[in-house]
Amino acid sequence: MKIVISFPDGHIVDFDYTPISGMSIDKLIEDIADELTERYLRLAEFRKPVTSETRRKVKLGYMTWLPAKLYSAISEALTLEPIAQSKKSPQAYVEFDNEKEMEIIAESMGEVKIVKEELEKLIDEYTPDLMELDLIGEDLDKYFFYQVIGRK
Amino acid sequence: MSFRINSPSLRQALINYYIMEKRGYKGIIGISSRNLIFLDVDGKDEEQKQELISVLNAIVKIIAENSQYAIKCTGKIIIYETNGGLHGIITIPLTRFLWMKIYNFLSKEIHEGRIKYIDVRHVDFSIKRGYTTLRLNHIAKLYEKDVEVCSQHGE
Repeated sequence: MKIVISFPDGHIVDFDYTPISGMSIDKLIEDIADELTERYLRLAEFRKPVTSETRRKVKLGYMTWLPAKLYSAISEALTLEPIAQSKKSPQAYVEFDNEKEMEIIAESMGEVKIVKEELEKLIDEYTPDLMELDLIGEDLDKYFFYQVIGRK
Repeated sequence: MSFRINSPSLRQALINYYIMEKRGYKGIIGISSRNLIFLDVDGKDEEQKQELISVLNAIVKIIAENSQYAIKCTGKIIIYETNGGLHGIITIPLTRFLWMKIYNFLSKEIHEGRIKYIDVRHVDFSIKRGYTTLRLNHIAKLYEKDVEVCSQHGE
């Protein structure tokens, strides 16, 4: 998955991140905060050697806003409606590369536990029907996209 | 609050659907295309079915007259029945130019009253959004016919 953080001064930082099955969302936030800290320390070119205390303080700064931003960005990427983010503060965007990553992150959010059997049942219900209805198959399916249409 | 979430694959759409349902949202799955024609009639009687077939045939004629803008030469006219009524589809992918030409034809015919049952809002929304959607709940095939659009030009 790709995570992009855009700062109000126009600076943009992006990460390629591979979520691991069973991980918690806190692990993802920690990893991104650590990576942001490392990149900042590299860019800042401190005169003195960087101490663990400096590193801790920089990371703490990121941790004041990063969790909320990442939660919003992940919720948005996981199907929820677009969430307005203030342009005065950093903004986060998340894009999934594949369905597997989506499933791992949805589960790591803790809100939705994807039960494989339920999902497979849903897929089994739809796919054969669509094939029987001639709506997928051959090369026709490349002209389609799918929509979930709904309301609260 | 209503929403539409687009996904490139059926599997991904079903994951979205699953997550939304678990979060307490009500939703259905739709299949959409920028390249295929879907038509919608809010009713299921014979007169409505016949109008739909005749409009689909008229569209095939337009495609045949402009077959250089069709992505494939052969396909099917299919009519599906759902809870909401009848839905017609021509399974020949079209370029945007031809797609717009057909929708302009439909829009004109509907607004001038020559087509009575095809849902005007569906056509107007389709033009506005740039794609058409067929909802996939409780769907069954009702009618099918093979069509060929390139023969006029010897392609």
